[in-house]
Amino acid sequence: MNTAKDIDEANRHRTMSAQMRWWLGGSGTIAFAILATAAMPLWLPEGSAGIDHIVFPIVLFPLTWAAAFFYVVLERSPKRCLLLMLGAIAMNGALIASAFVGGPA
Amino acid sequence: MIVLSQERTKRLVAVHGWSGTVLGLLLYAVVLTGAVAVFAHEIGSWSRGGDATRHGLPSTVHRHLEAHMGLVDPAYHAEVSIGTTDAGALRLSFQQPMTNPESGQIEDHAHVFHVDPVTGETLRHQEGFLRALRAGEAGAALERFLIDLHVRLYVPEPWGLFLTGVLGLAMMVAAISGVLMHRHLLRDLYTAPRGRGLLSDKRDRHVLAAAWGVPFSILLAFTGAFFSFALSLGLPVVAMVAFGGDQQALIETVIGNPEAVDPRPAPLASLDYVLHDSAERAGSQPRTVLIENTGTASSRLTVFHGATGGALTGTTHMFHGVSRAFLGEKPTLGTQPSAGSAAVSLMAPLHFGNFAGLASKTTWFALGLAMAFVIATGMQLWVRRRQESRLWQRFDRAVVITLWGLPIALLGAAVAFFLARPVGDPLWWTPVGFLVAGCGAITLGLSPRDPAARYRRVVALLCIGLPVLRHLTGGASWSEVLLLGQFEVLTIDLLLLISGSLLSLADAPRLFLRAGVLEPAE
Repeated sequence: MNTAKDIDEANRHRTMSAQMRWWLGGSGTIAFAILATAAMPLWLPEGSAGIDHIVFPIVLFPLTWAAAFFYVVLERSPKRCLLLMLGAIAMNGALIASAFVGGPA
Repeated sequence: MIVLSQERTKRLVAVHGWSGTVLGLLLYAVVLTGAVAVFAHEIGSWSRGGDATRHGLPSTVHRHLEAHMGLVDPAYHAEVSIGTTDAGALRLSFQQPMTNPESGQIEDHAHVFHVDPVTGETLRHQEGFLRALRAGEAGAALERFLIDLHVRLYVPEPWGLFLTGVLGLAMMVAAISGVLMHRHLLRDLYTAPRGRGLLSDKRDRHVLAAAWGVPFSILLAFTGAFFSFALSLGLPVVAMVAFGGDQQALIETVIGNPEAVDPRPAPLASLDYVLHDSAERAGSQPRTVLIENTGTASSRLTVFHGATGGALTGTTHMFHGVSRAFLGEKPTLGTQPSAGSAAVSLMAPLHFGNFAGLASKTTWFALGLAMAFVIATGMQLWVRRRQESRLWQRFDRAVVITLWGLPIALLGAAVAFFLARPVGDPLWWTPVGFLVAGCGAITLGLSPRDPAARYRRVVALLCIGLPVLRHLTGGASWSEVLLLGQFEVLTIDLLLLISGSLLSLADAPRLFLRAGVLEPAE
């Protein structure tokens, strides 16, 4: 039988999950999309004209953001969502940092 | 059919509702002005009393170009742009990059000549920075105002672009979440609206219009967000990482690095021959020509053609400026065809709907209006479910004011343009007219009675009055525009008159009832 303490705990957990999703869906996805767009020229192929790695990140920016946003909304586990998003942000951040350390591409 | 858990569906419903409501009023403004801006050029032509029919560049270009080259400092021969004006004159623009003391940025400073294509007489000569010269064209005030309002909601750069970009993302969220949360999307395509005035009837109409317009909504939201963010965010971010923050280096790489200039003097090849050659290759008349390094051995001609034969994009040819040798077709970006260039060149026709003339423009306009309807009914549905709250009651009134106020303000801008054209500065008065009419609409909507009927009458009055005002303020008469084949003037006049009449007729049954001519059952 659920006690009042259990219900409070469950409510607090739900509120925290909702807040985490709110922050991740807002500033988290924007940070991810900007960093992913900045990092893409470092790993995308240049293509025949040598411009694809510059053009596609800019073209794909709205879709990158939308994909991250819907992942955050639809992911069942808020913890997994947080870990994945932080991981993706850190990975793209590291790529950008390595480009600055090694000089522009 | 997409099956989602109850919890996920709940989250999607919340995302769908809030994304459409929080930014809904601004989104409605961007979508409605976007639908109207599909015909911005036609509206501009109508406001000027009709433009000359364009048949491409005249066959006397070379002669007129040579005659005017001697009139400007040779430094301005660095780049020469040749096109036609709305009035059908030849437009020669001699330009060179220069630092604009006002903006502190390097911009094109130009001598622009409008030349009679037959006699070669100089009709007009302007000197200044190109951006300022374009912004100062009084005849294009209404057209420019419409486009500016849609592109950046008249908010200063870059914030306006950020705002419309965020609105594009919000629209994408609303459309995709709408698809995901509707379990029976295909069935929704054939939903028949139920009883009049019921909440379910409003919902049915919302779902019906949204279901048919979903691919279009996603397409427009994506391309719109791309246009807003590409220059304001994407370019600086990519330049920062790939070019150490040098945006100019990025642009040069994307457009194609300029070749080294050979300064030895050399005569320009026959422009008339090159234009003829380019027209045969493209199957259409050239629209504009760009000559780089005119009068030198490394002179190059770039000839631009519009889309023809069902193609989504136009073609661009390059020729050597001295030997007139064909150097090949130039892609939109880069120096050779690529997937990136193809992707970018598709963005404009897909967003503006200008790839198949009037047919595609009309389709884009109609789908744009349907989207505006979806946003409006979506906001109304959201509010009706929360009618008990005073805050949402106020928002409901704000929705009604915006739905009617925006068309009134747009028509007010056109009224101001026509009134200012003969006596004042339409560039200043057009946005002022928008603001004054918008304030009037807000005042009208603040009265405690339902303002919809009064709004309808105001819109009807403005629609019927505009063609009359256009004529009274010096616009061409119907017989004149028919004789000159300027059908867009007649078409827009008639559309306004028909819209105004239909809106007036919507009030007719009520007036008859009041007068006792009809019984309520009728």
